[in-house]
Amino acid sequence: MHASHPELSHFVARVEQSFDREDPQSFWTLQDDFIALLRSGFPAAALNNELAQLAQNPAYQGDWQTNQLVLHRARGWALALWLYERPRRYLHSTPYYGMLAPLGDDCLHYEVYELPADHRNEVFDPAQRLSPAGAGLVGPGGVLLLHSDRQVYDFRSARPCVTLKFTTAAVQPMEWLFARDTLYAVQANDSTLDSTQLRVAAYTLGRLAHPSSREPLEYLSRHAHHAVRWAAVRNLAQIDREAALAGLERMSVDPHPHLRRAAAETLRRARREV
Amino acid sequence: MAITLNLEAPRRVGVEELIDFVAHEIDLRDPQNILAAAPLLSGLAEDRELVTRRLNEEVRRLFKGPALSSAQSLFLGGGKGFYLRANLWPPAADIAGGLVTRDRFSYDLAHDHNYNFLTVGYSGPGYCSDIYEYDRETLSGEPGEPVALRFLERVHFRTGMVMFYRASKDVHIQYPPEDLSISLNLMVADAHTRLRDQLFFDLERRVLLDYPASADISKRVSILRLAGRIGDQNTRQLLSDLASRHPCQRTRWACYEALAEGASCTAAVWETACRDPAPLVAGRARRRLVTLAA
Repeated sequence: MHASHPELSHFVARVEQSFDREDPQSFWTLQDDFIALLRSGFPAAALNNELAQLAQNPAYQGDWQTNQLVLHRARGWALALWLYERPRRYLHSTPYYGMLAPLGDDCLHYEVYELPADHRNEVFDPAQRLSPAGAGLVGPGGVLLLHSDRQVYDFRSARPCVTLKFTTAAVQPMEWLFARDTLYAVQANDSTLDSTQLRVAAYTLGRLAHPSSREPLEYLSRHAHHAVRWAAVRNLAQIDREAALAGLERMSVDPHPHLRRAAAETLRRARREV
Repeated sequence: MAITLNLEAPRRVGVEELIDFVAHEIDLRDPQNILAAAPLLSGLAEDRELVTRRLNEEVRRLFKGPALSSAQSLFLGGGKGFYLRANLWPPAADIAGGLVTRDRFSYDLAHDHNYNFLTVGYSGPGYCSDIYEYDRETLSGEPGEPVALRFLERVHFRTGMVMFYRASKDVHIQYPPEDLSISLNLMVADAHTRLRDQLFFDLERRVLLDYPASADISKRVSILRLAGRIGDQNTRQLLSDLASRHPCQRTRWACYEALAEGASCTAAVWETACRDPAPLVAGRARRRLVTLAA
């Protein structure tokens, strides 16, 4: 796509120059570059490029997702055209930073909710509740900055609305869901597929219980995602009890309170059994 | 009907050998020919440490290599127009106990596949599956449309069994096994499969329920909807060409809808669509004209 779109090439170069993956806050320095790309007329041209390829080859498939054309995907960030259609059943937190700009004549209405001051993304708590923080509208040419570590957005549009969407990779491990009527948290999901894949892998390896899986599960028990760490230690117990107990000991001082509690409880039970 | 094969004492086969065989010996467009790969797929299941070994590798590299976009499936390898995967089938008790999340596993939803595939039971007691067949040619493809589903059999897909599912003919619904079970699949994924829809069915009402949102054609329809919202004059010409020529009826319909988005006279768009050879497209267009006239 780059060869036929110098605007995209320029934007990619600017992002690679200014965005530090280890410092996601550097994302916000790219607002002017995003606006310049928005004004270039590039999105329609990129779309036409996809349609032209489809006309040549009916089975052609670009980097297409449901309601989304990914224009560029790089380690740590992505640029896409996103079709917003309708509100979702729950209010979803966005585990990444983002910039959204409606295209065409459409406006994107939104309501903003503040996350509680003591919110910790990795510690699910159904007592956490959103606070309404007003409403807004972003029209053609405008850009909405998604400060997703502090706020949750609920979009509305009279008709399906296409936006240019520039996002970081997930900066938080979990995507929270809040009930629309009560605004209380109801669920938290992994923000990335690989976290879920690792959890399912740990579960499967535990069930298959082959000695060769001891080392990979020990490695996984130090993963950054708390639920992956827990799945690893829990399933390690199917293969090597002593290694699992050592993992639980380590977890009894884990930064995650749920893991500390679960580890302490499991250790107590294990000692009783002995 | 979906074909169950009874293969005796297969010799152990490696992933590379199976891939090489399929790449060089199998015509993926010919269902009978695909069946010739069954003994080797069965032989692959004789490698009792295959899934453990591959999962260990994926864990070590944190799933950062080539992977499938599903937590249920483990990519084993592939070639032009096909790939091999292991599919995980956790029991209901583990789902209820929160060990794995239900929405990651395809249970209790009757569906067909838009490709032929071979599957072998690899480990565990195996899931049960009700199998039906239907005639795709008699369906227009409209959600809610009645489907003449013919029940064929209930299969307990045990370790060592090999089955062949026919594209757009066999419908199955899987139920969680008693304990974790794993199957190995040879999946056909050639360009042709991107032009044919997968369908979900409502067995109780015997109707076509919907299309998967994650299906290739659904994604293509999304792109066409984007085009309808923000396209320019060049977009309109491209949409018009695709509406008249693309072999997929849902794609053509999405083109007409996109054209109608920015049309000064939507009736002209629907009138053109009425001449489409597919009843799905022509029927929808006629209904739009009726609505316009009302």
